[in-house]
Amino acid sequence: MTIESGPDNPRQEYRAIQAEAFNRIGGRYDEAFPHKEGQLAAGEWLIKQLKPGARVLDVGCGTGAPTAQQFAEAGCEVTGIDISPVMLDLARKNVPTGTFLERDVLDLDDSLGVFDAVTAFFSLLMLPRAEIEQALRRIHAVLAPGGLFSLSMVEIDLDDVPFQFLGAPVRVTGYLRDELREIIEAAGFGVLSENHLSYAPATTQAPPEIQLFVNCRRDQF
Amino acid sequence: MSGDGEPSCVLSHVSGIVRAIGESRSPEEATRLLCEALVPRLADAAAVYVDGAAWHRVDPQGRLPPCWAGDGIREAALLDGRLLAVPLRAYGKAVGCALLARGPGRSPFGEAHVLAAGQFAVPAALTLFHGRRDRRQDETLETLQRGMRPGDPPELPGLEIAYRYEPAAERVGGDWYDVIPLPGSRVALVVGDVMGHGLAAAAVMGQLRTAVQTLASLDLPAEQVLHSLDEMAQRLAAQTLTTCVYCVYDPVLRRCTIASAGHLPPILLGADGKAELLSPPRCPPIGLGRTPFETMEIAAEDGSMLVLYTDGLVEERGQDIGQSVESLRLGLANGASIEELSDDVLSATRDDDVTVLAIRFRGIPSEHVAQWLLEPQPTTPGRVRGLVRRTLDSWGLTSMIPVAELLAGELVTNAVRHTQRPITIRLLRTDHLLCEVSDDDHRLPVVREPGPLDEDGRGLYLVSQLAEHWGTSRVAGGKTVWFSLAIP
Repeated sequence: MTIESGPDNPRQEYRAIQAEAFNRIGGRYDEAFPHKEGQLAAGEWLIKQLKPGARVLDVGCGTGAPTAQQFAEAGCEVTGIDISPVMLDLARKNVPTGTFLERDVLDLDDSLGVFDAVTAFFSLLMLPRAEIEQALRRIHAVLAPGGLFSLSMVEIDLDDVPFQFLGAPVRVTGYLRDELREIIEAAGFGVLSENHLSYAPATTQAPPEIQLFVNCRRDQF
Repeated sequence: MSGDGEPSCVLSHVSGIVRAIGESRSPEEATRLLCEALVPRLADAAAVYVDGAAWHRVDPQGRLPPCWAGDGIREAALLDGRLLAVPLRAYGKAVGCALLARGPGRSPFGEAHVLAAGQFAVPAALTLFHGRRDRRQDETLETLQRGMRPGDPPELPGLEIAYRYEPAAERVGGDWYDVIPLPGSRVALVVGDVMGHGLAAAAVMGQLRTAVQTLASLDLPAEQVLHSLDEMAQRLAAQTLTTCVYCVYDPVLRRCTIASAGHLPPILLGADGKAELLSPPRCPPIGLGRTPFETMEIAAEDGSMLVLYTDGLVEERGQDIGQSVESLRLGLANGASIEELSDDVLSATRDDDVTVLAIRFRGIPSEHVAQWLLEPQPTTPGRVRGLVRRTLDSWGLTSMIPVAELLAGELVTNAVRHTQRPITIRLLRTDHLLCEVSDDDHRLPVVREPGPLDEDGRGLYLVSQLAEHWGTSRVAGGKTVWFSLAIP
């Protein structure tokens, strides 16, 4: 276990830069990506299998739209974590019944309890590949055995590469779909279904992309 | 003339003919009048030769040759008693020559005939000289005007184009329009208006139009195109003001960026028929220098139409320009076509150029686009071949896989060699399959035929041989190399 030691910690510094980018992007994120059919379908897939009152964790909840909102409306107990305070404020406004915490996915521990389902839509792509693999293990740890996990990423073959996103400098990471499946399975999940979607953002500040949605179940052990 | 009649009578006859030839409206008419004046009064046959060929012949018996180069004669002279040659000269230069013949039943030519024919030749030669020079100048002018006049816009995926271009006078004026394909299936749409009319405005237009084409091919953002155009205008056409609107439509993102240099507001006609006056950031016209330009970005929904125009379409004497633009907007909202609106304007007397360019956005469905960013590594070409295979398979284009993956792999191999930054690959399906590979290296590759011992340089050669079309373009932050294949 590493001991976090203030702002000198390189991971914290990395997160602070990423968080700052999303503080700047704020509400423009939902303007640039107004159509979230793929994400809504993935949320729907989870909701159909969850009991009312189920505990759901949304990793990188952003503005809370549409996923935290969707779970709250379905009667789930939603917790959202994000590293951008601006995004979290938007989420608290969008989903008043949710709990939203400024928390790094790598700092997830049993203090938040056990969840019946976890989502991570377009959030893990903000981490370098080595940390994505750690993040998947953290998610595995807070998920009840047999719990459901839905993940989305952009299909890119990059590891921690600087990128201008909606006019803000970020670093992005991704995998081609076969490798993404491999690391998910290696982290202890079984892949139940996959959806791929060609997506054109509603802005010239972000390129067209292919979105990968992977629906999984945590192994029983 | 043949010795008969009073001298004053003869003189009046000669002067009548000279005047008629001098007043003729074309070189053809002048040569005809000359021949008719000569036959039958002075000769039984007459012909005028220009550039060695007969322009006009009055020769019922076929006494004269169809071609004659003049044999370098400088003065009217008898070739024999019944054949008289008359040079047609103006300003010291030969412009042609005439031959006169008398039949055997008639007396040979005399000295007086030689002098009379020489008299008639003078106005004919002058008319020929000026007529032909005017014609050459007209042709030069027309060639230049045709060359400057914007041509038919290209057919491009994702949009439909309607346009009218009607200069007030001549064949070209200060107005112009352009539709310029850009990488990534985007397209630049331009309408400009150089202040003033006629040739002076057209000459400036020709230069600015070329400048915009060049700036567009560098894939500069819209505001930078106008900024650079402004700087160029200072050098190319000082003291001239030009308004210009520059738009870039992206049929994949369904977005359109618009920058306007003092131009009339574009009108967006929604698919629902609502017509909206767009107000891009107000920027001054081109030609003032050192002005910042800004853009607006709009959603370009499928079925909606962007209308760009010049003031000739809306300007009415005594009417406020704002009102005129509003009536154009209402006309569009009421379903009037571009043709109808232009016809209304063109039917009235006018002294300004009329240009209108209307683009109906059709968009490219996002499932027909696949785009990836990849870090350049030795394994990247292989990965891209896999992506191409998978994508073409899902598009039902299995038969195209071998060539497409080969060529895409070659382009990516080149890119991997030249950059450390991520490479973008885009596949786009329209009526063709388009594959674009972009990297951050600005140097454009050059295709060459590889020699027998060359291991390098075969990739682009393969692309040039196997692709239906291919090309390279500069893009913001690097270059794009692309090829397209016909979909069977």
